[in-house]
Amino acid sequence: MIERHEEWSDLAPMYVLGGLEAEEVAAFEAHMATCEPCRQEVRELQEVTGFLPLAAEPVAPPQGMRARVLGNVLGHAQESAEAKPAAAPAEPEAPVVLQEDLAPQHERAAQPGPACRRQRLCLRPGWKRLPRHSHGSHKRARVRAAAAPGA
Amino acid sequence: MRQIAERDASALELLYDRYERAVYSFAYRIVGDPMTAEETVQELFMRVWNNAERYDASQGKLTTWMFAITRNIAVDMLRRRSKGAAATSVEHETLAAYADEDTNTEEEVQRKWEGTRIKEALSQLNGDQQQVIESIYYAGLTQQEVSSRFGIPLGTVKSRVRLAMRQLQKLLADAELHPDAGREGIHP
Repeated sequence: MIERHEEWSDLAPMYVLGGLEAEEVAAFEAHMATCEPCRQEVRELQEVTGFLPLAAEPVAPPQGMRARVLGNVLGHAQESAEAKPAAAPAEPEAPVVLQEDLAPQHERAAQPGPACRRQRLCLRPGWKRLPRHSHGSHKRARVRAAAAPGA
Repeated sequence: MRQIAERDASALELLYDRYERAVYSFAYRIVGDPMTAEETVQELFMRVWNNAERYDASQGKLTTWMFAITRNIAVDMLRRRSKGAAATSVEHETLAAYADEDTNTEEEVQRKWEGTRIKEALSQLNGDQQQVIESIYYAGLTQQEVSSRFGIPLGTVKSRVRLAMRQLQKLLADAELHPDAGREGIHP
């Protein structure tokens, strides 16, 4: 059980980098909900991790990826619209990393499924969390089929 | 993003065109193969399309938001792929990097400049620090997994991450890379 602020603060770099387990993330976020210095530290560290993706070497996307991705995304949207009654609210298809508000810890604990283990990025301070158990597997199958040699 | 939230397909296409290369390259960096990288990009844009109204520009850069989702998806895919299989390689020497021949917009030039700066900063970390950044951020391992995989005490993993992040903070500040450097001016 962590009691001293310094111990919580020591978790911030690992939290931001994405190296904590889901339980550790939940505990740290519960602490941050009441600790402005930790929130501030996390914000500052996120300015660093925000640049890390840019260290990836530029890679040319596969030929035809744009048409496949947009076709699947927008095609799926059209299918959904046709399949649902007009008044039905759009249902989030998949988990999302979103901002503002920390979800209550009990709600996070109630999230079923193996994907919960890796919730870190969905649970950053000030970020909303949505259900994240649909991963569009049928869409991935389409991608695989379309991207396969000879497709 | 507001237009996307209002189901404006052309706005999504515009967003896609602006970030395709950046998010694909990042996804590829994590998953290491073109098919899974494309799946990652598709899942990213599916989530953006379905949840754009929840993006709040006042809370951070659009690229940061999109990259965070991209990493989340890519790491989940890595996990699923490696479940029950041998340890995931954390080496990326085999990445098929191609010439960045399409760097032609001001925004892409800016990202390329930032990418050069962050690569320089990473290269200035010592080997141990590079290893933990690579293993955790790019390969999706937890601190416990890094500890057991490389036989490093957990406390040492933590201290290496702390030192690496502090040093990166300083190096990026010295390089005049700061949060506003890449802040998006346009919110489709």
